[in-house]
Amino acid sequence: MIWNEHYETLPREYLEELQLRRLRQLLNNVYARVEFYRKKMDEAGILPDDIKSLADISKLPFTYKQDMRDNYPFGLFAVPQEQVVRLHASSGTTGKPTVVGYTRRDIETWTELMARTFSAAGVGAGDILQNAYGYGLFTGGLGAHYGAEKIGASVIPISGGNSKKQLMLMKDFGSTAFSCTPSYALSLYEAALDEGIDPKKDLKLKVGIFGAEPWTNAMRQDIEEKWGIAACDIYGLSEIIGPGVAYECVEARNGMHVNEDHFIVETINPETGEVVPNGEVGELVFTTITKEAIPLIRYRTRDVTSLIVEPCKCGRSFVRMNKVTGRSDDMLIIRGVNVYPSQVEGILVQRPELSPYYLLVVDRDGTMDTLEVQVELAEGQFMDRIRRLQDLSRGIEKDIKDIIGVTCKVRIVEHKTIARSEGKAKRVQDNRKI
Amino acid sequence: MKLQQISVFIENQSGRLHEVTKLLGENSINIRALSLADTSDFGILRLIVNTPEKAYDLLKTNEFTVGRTEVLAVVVSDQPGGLAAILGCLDENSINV
Repeated sequence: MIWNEHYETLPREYLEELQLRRLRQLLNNVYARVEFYRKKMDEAGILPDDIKSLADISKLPFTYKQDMRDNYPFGLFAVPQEQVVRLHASSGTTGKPTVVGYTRRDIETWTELMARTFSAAGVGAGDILQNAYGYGLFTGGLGAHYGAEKIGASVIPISGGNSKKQLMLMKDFGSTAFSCTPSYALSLYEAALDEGIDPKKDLKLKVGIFGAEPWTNAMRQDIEEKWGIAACDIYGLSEIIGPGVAYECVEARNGMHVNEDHFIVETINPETGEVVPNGEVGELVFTTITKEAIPLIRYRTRDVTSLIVEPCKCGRSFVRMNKVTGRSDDMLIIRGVNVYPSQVEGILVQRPELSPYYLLVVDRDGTMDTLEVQVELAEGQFMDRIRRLQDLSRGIEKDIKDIIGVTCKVRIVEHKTIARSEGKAKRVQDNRKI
Repeated sequence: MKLQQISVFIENQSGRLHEVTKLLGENSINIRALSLADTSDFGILRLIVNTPEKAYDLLKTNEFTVGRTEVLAVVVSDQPGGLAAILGCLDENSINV
């Protein structure tokens, strides 16, 4: 079902007119209120009025995650604090999180976008939605929650983890839909088998809304077959608004519709910054044209994929984005947690016993991502006590868990076993088939 | 008698111990005593050899992670109670082994 027929099927010419109007409004607003943008635009020699067509957007400078870090915590906010009703944060690269704020209207927008998402997945009043995205600073849980309530579904705010309880409620309450990361959907299936539950016979699930980490169509097929459900993809990032930036319709399940009445999407060449033609692979760049608290202009997501401009059979006029196929930086997503090698490096360099050579080995054991950190002992720092070496690796494991939020295994390896490279060091070996 | 003990950090993978001993053997270094402490990931090989300086340099140039410590060597008489006599002496002087 289409939640907002008017906007979701708006003919392209009207949609583009709306985008341009909103973009110009946004530029005037941030130029007047946010010093960071005013400076940046002045440096680029561009004024809000210079943007006369949608194509002119390419004249505007990019915004980077680093800019959010430099202006931590509230430097990029475009409204006074009394208008901010919610704060969320995602993991950052240096221990400090990336902070996002919402005005009351931003929350309403977000709720609307998630209402569209659930409707498109075939969820509505009468459905029981088990929301297994994490609640808290992470945008996933609350974002999905508000949207599902809006469409009139009965929401179970169970949050992530605790598989036994998830399964008990799924069975006893008769949940008809659930939302979580795709990898958790697979591990929950295994837990169901352990509990003697046959999802197809014992549960009433018909659809799942999965996102917050990259997954393939092969994984979709696997999830659909195992659970006996339709699996819809959802895309979002907290900087832009959270989940609900783009969503898949259950009819086609072939690319995610970008909510273009609220965001302008571009794909660019990450090296040159030039816009690539639609359909070609590039880095996704978003401009939030309705956001009040923390509007972002040409935000570099570092997610790499392509756009689909051909109309979808569901009737929505929004452009679709394919599944994210990679990153234009070195960020890894491990069990839903964003991990940058530089974060791990920051922890390792604090220990003089270790060399600067390390390698992150990511793999998938069954349905769970695993991370192994291999690091060499520093020269001349040899210790001949097993206990000290074990304390060292356990200490690092604990720091990585506490600071980055991901469980890993640290393996201390022999001197010079990690490949030296001439140019850019290879810090990651990702063995996952995704 | 004070002696140099050579310790080698080795990852727990097949053939690694052989590589160390082969290298020493090829360079006519004789192993007098050896002990090995290990975990599932790595081990520490402790060696007493006839030419510790040479062994240390050799292992180092062959890129092994190697360390040196001074140890005390004691001749234990090969008869019942031989070790106990020595340990008793240390114990009386509150020296922990």
